[in-house]
Amino acid sequence: MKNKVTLTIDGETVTVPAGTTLRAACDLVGHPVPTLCWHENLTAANACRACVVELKGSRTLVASCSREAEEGMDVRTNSERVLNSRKVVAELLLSTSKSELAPDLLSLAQTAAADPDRFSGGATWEQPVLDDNNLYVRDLSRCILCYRCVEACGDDAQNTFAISVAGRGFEAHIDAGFGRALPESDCVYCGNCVAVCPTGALIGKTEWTLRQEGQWVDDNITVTETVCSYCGVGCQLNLHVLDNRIVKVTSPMDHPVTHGMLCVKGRYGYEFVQIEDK
Amino acid sequence: MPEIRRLLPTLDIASAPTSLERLRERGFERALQRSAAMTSQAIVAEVQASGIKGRGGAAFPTGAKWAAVLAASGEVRYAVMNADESELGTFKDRALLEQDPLGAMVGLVIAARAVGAKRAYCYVRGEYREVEAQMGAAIQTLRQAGWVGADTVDIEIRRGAGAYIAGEETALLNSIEGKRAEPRVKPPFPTTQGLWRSPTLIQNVETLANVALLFAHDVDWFRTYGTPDTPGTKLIGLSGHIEHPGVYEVPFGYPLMQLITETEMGHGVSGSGHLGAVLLGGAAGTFLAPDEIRDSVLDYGSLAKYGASIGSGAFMVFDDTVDLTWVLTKLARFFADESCGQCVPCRVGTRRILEFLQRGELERRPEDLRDLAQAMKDASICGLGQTAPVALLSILDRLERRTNETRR
Amino acid sequence: MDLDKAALSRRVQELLSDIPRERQQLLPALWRVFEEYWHLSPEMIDAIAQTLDIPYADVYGVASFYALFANPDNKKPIYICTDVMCALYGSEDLLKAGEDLANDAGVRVKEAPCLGHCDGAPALFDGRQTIRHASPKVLAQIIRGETDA
Repeated sequence: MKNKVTLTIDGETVTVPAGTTLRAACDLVGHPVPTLCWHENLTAANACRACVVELKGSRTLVASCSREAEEGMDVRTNSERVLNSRKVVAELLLSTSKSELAPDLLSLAQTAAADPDRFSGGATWEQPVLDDNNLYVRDLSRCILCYRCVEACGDDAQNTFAISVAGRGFEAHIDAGFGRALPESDCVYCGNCVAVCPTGALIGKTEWTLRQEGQWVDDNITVTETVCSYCGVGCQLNLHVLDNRIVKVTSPMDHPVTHGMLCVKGRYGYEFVQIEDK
Repeated sequence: MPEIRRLLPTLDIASAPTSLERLRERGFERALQRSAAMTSQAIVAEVQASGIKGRGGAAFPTGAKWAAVLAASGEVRYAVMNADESELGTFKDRALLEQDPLGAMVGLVIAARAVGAKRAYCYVRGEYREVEAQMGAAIQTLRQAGWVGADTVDIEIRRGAGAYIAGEETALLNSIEGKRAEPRVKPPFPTTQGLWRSPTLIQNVETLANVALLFAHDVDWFRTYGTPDTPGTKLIGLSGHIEHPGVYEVPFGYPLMQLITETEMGHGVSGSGHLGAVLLGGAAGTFLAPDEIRDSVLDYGSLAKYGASIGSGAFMVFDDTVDLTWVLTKLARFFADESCGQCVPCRVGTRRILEFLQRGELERRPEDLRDLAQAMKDASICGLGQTAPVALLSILDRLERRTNETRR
Repeated sequence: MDLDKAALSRRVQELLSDIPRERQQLLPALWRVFEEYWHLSPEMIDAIAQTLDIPYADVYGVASFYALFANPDNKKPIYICTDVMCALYGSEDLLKAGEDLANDAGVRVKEAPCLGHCDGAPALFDGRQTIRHASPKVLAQIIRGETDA
């Protein structure tokens, strides 16, 4: 098997290693495609369809996040059909879910010149906030069903399988089973679902509370890097600090040990540090 | 021209549908014996020579599919019969399995042998309980005759549970594997990565019944009917405002209007007695006006002129009193209910189309509907979302033509 | 675990006793339990999850995908096709009549998409069998349990 393939993207010829996705190849030539559900450390879900591109000879557009580059492919990232699909995807999501905390969706909407009202007026995802534990809140009105949380909870990272997509069609949703509250579910509160959520549907309790109170100011947050001291694995922690208080802990998605994933101690054990300080 | 009965047994057949006598009487035993004496390559070559195309709706050349599975690498292979018939207006597989279940089952055994599958599944919709029982009896007969079993091919029936999308081949695979019946992204195709990522051959019931007939006879016999490009016969499900609804077998190339008028078949339009329109191909089909029906024959080329397709063989007749927007709204409801919910264009798009129609905005916002429909056709993962707006577009086209004619 | 729950769990294990402990047996397993109780409760899903060693949320995710498993309690569902072809033959009136009659009976009358009997419209499916050309009279008999049909 050849280990390099050469293809054309928007008229530019590019050679990439075999197995490279069209999305990555588009990035390489400087014609990035927008994505919503795709995440660098998770299996491509193929769900949002924001990343579709036009492939010569294909009846439909193809999802660039999962389609691998093949020799001789002729790809367009900005054809009329591509632009229409991107715009409609953004409009359909805007008509369904709350988007204020979804930067990727807002940016897609802007670049695609989406009209948020075009398909609105029908059924939406409006539903009560689920605040059933001390560590994170589920505001599913913001969910766009990207499957990231299910994958992070499942075999892409945590292997806990506490949540799944349930129901189908417009009623498809993320569920721990019959709407179980998290404390009754298999959840271990690693917060990896929160880390990969692109829309704020899953959000740390501290951040959610501060946002409710109007106290969360992105510009005032500083990030300090450290290494988690709970065990010897060596996970990098990024401590997000607001007004001298740790308000969120993340780990870089490109960190060789964590790949952005932590355990409950690393992600939510910070209150302990703050109690000691006092 | 009268009805032909090849796939369907003749009306005077006396043997019980799942009996050994039926197996012999229909030539299926000969089909099994003949194929058993052939190499995989020879079987596939014969299917290719016959020109059989898939009868589930997509009309993909059957021989090419078999060749792809045969050529795929992998120790373990599977064969699957798709009996999840759930398309609106479609009931031909049910009729076939009720009247002659051994045909499709023998086709499955031949298919499994051709691609080297030791295990096969029959996926049947959960509402077809009588059909399921009939399939079970057919498998039992073949087991007793030594054609099905651990050292040949084992066949397991898998019952669906009310999901039209499970008939989509990759969703069907997920359903068999015990997962949510969400379609997978293609490529890879099931021919190379199907059940448990092994090469898998999936065929519709009617396609497999054609295979059994082919091996019961030969390529020349098979090509006696139909057109050179699309040989053989097709089962058509006639329903709606028609005097004699039912499943009829006709050769490709058959004039569509005769399906309605022939005394042995439709026997004329019921209801008001005046033909209003035909919805051809299923829920994702195309509305054809009476003059278009008069002008068309049952073949892909002839129908392509009107953007129509034979699809699953659904032929739904409406008299001239039926409000087609009402039909469209029903179709939209069907797709919204049956969307798996995985991708945005279909999950939200099918719901928005339904809402548009319920609000009576079909004629008020055709451009927005067309943009939405185009995005669904272009960007949905699978055939459900891609074809959900087809009937709607055929009505929008018709409205546009009418407006242009009035302007002229 | 209270007694009822323990008994139910035992019954589910019994129902699934000859089913191989494989993921691909989930759909057949759901059917077995559903046909015993005509619905799938959280306790039943839990018992299936334990027996087949599949996560609870996962089993629920699969079960909730399929329309035929969507029944809230043990009232046996009877499905009336209200899709296009059957609607041309009065199935929507049949549905209304059925819903009224079923109110006091131990069954639930539900709408169904195309049942694949468009040539026998209107069609109904009683969970085991299909009735073609269903009349209000036959429907009433089925609801009152006067016929096996």
